[in-house]
Amino acid sequence: MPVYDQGYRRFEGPMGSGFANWWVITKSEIILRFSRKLLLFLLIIPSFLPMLGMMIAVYVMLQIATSDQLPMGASIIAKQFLDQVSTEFYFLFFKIHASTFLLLWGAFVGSDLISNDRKTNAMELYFTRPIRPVDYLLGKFGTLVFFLLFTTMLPALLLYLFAISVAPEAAEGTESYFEATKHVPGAIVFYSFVQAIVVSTFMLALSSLGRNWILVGAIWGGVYLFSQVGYRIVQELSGSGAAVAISLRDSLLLVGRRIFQLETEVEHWEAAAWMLGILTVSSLLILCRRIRVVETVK
Amino acid sequence: MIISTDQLSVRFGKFEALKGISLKIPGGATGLLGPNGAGKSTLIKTLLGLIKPTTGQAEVLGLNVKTARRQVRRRVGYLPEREAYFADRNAVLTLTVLGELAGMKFSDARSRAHEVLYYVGLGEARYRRVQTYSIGMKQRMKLASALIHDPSLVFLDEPTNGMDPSGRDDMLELIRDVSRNKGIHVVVSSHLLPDVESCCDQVIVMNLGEVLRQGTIEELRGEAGQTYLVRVKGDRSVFASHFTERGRAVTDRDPRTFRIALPPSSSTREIFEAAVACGVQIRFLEPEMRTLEDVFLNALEGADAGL
Repeated sequence: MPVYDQGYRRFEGPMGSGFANWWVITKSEIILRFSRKLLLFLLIIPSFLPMLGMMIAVYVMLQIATSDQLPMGASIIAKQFLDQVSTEFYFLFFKIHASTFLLLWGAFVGSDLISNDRKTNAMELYFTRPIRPVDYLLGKFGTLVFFLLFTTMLPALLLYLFAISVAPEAAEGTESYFEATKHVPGAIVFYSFVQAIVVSTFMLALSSLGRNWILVGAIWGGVYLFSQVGYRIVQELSGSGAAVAISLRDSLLLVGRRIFQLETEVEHWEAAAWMLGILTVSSLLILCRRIRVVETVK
Repeated sequence: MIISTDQLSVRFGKFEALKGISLKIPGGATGLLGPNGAGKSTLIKTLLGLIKPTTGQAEVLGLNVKTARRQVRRRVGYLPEREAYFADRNAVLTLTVLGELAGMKFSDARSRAHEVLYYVGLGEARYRRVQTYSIGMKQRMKLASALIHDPSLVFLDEPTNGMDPSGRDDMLELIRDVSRNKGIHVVVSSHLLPDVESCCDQVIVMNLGEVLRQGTIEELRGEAGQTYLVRVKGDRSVFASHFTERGRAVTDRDPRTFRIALPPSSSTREIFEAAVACGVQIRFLEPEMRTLEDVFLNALEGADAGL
């Protein structure tokens, strides 16, 4: 019996222009990651836990503050807590995210985006299709950006919407909760994008340098954690706030504080912004060198 | 012509991988023959637009490979020499993505992925991750990747690499079916002569970045004339020297049989006339079948002699 099926036929359907080839790559990467149960249970779902915890805290405190049956002390504490549900509160969400999930997302989703393709020679499959290197890069970039936005911007905005929906009406002569925090949604969106773009570009550059995703993930973890240690040491020794530029995490947070219009502990946010800019441009240059069609040549 | 090149050169630094190749490949199945390092893969990658030619021109299906790279790739399929797959994806997902990247709608790509996987004999294994496939299955998977968008031409770079004999036969049968029954032009690059001989109509022999021979297999077999196996009764040495004096190659196949090579302009009449002249009887005369291997070795020897 022949191995082939005689029912094979020529394709006569429509062929598109391949305008959104990057989206085909992004979509397939996202579907692949949602199908990984371990990733779903250990990373995607836990990424929403801080939001849920903060929502529950707000709700419970609101119930305590408006309850007549609880002691006055509890009500005062609850009101004090609710007063803190301001810009700093939303920024706290990003701080939690930056301390844990950003590191994990980079290591477990970003590290294999290009390194696996290099390991399995998948680039030969990609680049023998009518796609450009920029489509490939955007496709991979879009994957990590999607997950970072999905776990930062989305829960932060949901948290904000929740707070608005449960916020008590403002007393006469005072501004409402919405008016007091109307800059927050814009800051959430803008900062989420800044964080996602910087981290994704850097992570892709790292991923393009290796063929082993575990090693790439470990390097990312090392850079992320040890740059914080380096920052603390240099800051202690020099006393300069500009040393923040050594740490990726702290630079992101400092720029974030500026975007959220919060007082910055260190006045050198410009140094942090420059560092993030230089890191992103350097990463793009690395990617331009590494992701070339000529890669397919032995 | 499905492919034409004019003085096509590719240079990597000081190394000249292709040296001013001028080719015209008609439709059907064509074999690119040559030892490792001959420039076969470089030629294919140049024709796919993956490598920019240093000088010269090349057209694939009437499209210039320098200016219309994406259109070329839309109409051409490619089976890479090296193992290539998407990690952690099954065959259906892989082919769907490749189909979509070629411009197909998701639903079309998905249904065609199933169809093509059945065609190459991977129907039962289509939901397995590709990295768990055997070498032979991975080769079939690569063929499916080349066919998913229904190209007009496929480049197959060492399609039987690492396959066992039965898998190799199946793969060659598939290639024959693709080129003869599905209306898809095929260019097979290989250093395995029997593979090319069994599935190609025409052959291009390459070495060190140059084209040494081109033509149909029959033409190439006949190009260097015909060799005859001759057994005689009488003085063998006189008979042999009669031919060597006239510049014909005479070798002993065995102690009783000569192998005499005659040019294309000559015929068996020359042998009979020689027998009469030398006073020997011809007891056995048979044309020897020239294989592609003879053509290939002759071409390489000719190239070496020219160096």
